Amino acid sequence: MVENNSSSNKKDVFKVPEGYFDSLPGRVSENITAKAKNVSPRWIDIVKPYLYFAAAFFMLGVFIKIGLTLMVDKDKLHQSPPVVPALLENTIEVDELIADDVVFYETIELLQDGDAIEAAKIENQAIEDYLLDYDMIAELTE
Amino acid sequence: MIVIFVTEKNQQLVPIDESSYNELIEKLRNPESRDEAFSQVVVIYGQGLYRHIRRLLLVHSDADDVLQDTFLKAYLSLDNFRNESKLFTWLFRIATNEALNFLKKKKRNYVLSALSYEDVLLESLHSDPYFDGAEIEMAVQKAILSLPEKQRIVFNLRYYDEMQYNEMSEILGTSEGALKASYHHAVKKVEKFLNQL
Repeated sequence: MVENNSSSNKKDVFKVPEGYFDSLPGRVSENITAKAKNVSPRWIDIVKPYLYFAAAFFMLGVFIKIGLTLMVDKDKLHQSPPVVPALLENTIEVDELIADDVVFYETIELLQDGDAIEAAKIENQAIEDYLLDYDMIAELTE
Repeated sequence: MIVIFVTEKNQQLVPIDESSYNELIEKLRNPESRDEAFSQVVVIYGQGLYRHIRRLLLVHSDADDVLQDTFLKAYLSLDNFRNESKLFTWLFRIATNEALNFLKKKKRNYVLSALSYEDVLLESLHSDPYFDGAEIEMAVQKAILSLPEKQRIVFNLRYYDEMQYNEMSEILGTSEGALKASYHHAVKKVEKFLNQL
């Protein structure tokens, strides 16, 4: 029943005051001038640019922090193996005890193994053999 | 040609051509011509929007307030209008939301009352000088008022404005299928209500 009604049968029962639609654009314009153009900005609109700036600054800080952390880690990778720090303490003692030309890893072994200290003592014969090999005895005796 | 329905004074829906529509949109985007173009928008869409709001709120003074708020909100949101939807559907969407918000506020005042806001509206309609209806029109309004809000909107847009479902879908953000079902239920309820009289 309702669906079959044609538009001509749909009487508009809602009336408006005389000249209502004629004056509508003017009243809307006045309303916009009074409210829209004097409307105070919302606090979020004021704060928004500062929030964006703070967020950008924070993100920059985070990126810098991450970058620095990665750089430090990278430097650590290029350093000596992890056993080195423990050995460095021994190195100081070695310097005090042993001659300068003793290589570092030999020193460590010397410190760790008592037998190695004995083995490292150079025999007089070995010195003579070395000098002979390089014809140095003749030079010394001349 | 884009068919943009314009409600004229004789209540006939007249299409405007695409070039006029595009020109209007361009003027609205330009701050220098915005105010003038917006006055055109009020002239073009004012009546259609008013009737849509009035059918939901029934009282002229309420409809006028909500229409003013609709245009104010539209003016302030013009920068957000991306021309993805038609100006017509965009304005109807704002008007629908404004009217529903108005109803919500009004209904809050009657939560603890013995009378519902709908009862008060019907009472005021009897004495409304801007309601020109006989008993049967009053009964139809009563039947429509008994519908849930969404069904009322769908019924009004489809029955009185003869709006296409795809346009209603854009305005209400509901699928066409759901709108068809909603209209079908609304018609059945109105018929049942009127038959009981």
